[in-house]
Amino acid sequence: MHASLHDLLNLRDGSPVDAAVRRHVDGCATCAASLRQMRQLQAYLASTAGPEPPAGGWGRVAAALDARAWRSAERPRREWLAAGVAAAALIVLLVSRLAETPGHRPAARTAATAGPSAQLEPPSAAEPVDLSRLIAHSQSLEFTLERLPGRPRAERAGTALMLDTLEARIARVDATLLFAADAGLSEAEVGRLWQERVRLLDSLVNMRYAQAQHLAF
Amino acid sequence: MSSFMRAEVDADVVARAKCGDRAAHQAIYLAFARPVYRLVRRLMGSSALAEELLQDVFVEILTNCASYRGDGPFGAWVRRIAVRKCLMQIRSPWRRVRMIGESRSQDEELETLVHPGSHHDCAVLATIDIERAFARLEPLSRAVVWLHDVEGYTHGEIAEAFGRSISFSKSQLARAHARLREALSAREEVPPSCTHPSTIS
Repeated sequence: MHASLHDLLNLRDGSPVDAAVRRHVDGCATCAASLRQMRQLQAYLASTAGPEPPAGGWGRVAAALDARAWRSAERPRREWLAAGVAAAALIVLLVSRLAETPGHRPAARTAATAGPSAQLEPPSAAEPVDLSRLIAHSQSLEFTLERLPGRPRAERAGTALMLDTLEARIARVDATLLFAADAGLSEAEVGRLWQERVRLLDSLVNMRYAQAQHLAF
Repeated sequence: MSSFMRAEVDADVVARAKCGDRAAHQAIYLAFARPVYRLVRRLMGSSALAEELLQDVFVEILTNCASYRGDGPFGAWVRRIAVRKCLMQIRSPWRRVRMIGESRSQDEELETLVHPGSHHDCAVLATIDIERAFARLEPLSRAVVWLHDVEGYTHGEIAEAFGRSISFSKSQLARAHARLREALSAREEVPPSCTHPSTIS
């Protein structure tokens, strides 16, 4: 019986292997050829320089750094604006709900009209943080978001601003999570970041869903 | 030895970069663009995605270089960020769909990745076969092979980076090599002079 791939990889990497396996490989042309091919493959991958980085790469990185610096300076103003637009949207929503005739109101929203994240309850702040649940929730929201149509080229200024703000805030949370270990954040702090990510993503999904419904009609 | 470890920059450049010095940022980019691009190009499997990610990686590196504490080589710190960014892409369901789509249009890129213009040579054909077989691995398997076989990560380090077990890393590596072997043994249209097409010597 020939050596398994695990054994051949261990032999290639100098990891401990049973003496009987080693003897077999030494005397078996097929196994020896497989081992040689694995070594050559590894040597080839390690030796190829690969393609050159794209021309003008530094210019694009420098421009992205400038844009990021500008956004950081601009963020407080944009967030105030976004908050204003959100408040206005809430008032409009409340007024329209109050104006609804009870007889014409549907008894219950169906799954088709309830919105993509209606069944996904965002975690409450009072609950203990369950990281795996938050990550699963976040992935589920991302999956939903991915299935929604892309943003239209022409958007209302207020909608665009709110969507941009939400996306920027999610990116900021992601960046913080990326360096969570380096920054020495505690599990509770990481949990709060994931909670924030889920909350923002939930808002983003709801807004994008509403936008897609509006465009469909 | 990983190409990240060969591309060091002076401590003085890192110190200036931490203070936001744009010339120091550029020096870091010039020192590490090649190893970072090589890594992301291999892990992402497509030049379009790799170019986007190259920019993202450097924006993260240069905006966060103040968090580099100097307790290891700067190259290792850069590599850790590049790997994390790649794994974020691989893990994200909404980005994974794009990765699969992009890597399907890879075959045209493969020949230019090797040695353009000399396709009659046996060794070049074999090289293209290896590139094709590697590019067709699942993103996760490709990442494990590259990190283990080229970057020299241990199974423990891979398990940590992926948030999985050591046996996950070992089985991914074995499965990927099984697929590579299968792909290389099933190559078609072997020129008569190529007796060992999948062998690079």
